[in-house]
Amino acid sequence: MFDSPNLESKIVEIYNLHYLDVYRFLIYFMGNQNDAEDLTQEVFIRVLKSLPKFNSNYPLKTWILSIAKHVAIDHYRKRRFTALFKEGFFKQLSSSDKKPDEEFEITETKRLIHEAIATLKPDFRAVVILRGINEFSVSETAAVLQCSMAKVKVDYHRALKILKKKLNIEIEGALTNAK
Amino acid sequence: MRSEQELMDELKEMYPQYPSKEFKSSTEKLLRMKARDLEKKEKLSDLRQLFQAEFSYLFSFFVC
Repeated sequence: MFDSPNLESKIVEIYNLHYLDVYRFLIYFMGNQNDAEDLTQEVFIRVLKSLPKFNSNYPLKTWILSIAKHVAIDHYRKRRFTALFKEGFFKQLSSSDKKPDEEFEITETKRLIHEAIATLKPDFRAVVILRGINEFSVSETAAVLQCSMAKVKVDYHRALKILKKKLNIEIEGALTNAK
Repeated sequence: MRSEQELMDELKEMYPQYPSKEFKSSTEKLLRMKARDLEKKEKLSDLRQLFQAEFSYLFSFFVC
């Protein structure tokens, strides 16, 4: 439990320690920087409100990430029927000095990776981001997702299999067709 | 087929790893403000409880 008179300094300390973990989880989950930033803010507001009730026997990082997962899934549900990754994504594809055909290949690869992630169900997407990108351990991931370690292992394995299969078929196909 | 590491490296390269510059300081300001509001509310609620306790004590004193 945190003392409420220290709430301001405590939340700032917690925010500085964990905002990058939360942001990195959300940017891969949502697919664009604007949403990731808005939702990171929302996560820490929820953390602040729940802080006086926080049980310090529970690891803080996994508690915060489990709030981030709930916020991301709530937002995902709200936007389910709109094109989830449509806006923002293409704005982020940076222009460079590359030749048009090289540029096209990179853009196409990014688009396909992006679409492959977007097709994963939210639980699979969360497990790939936490284990693969945020590099959480199996037990930390299980604590965030509130499931067993065995489920994390199975879901991660299945999600990777789907991603690899989709990407190898689609990227190779798209690039061959583009030539 | 890609290895797991290659796949993760590709994923990591896809999006900016850091939020925009203004984001960190503006969120920190917002959190400070909200924390102060919560503290004020808590103090007010403590005062209200104290007042209610005092009032019920005085009330029972006069009734007796």
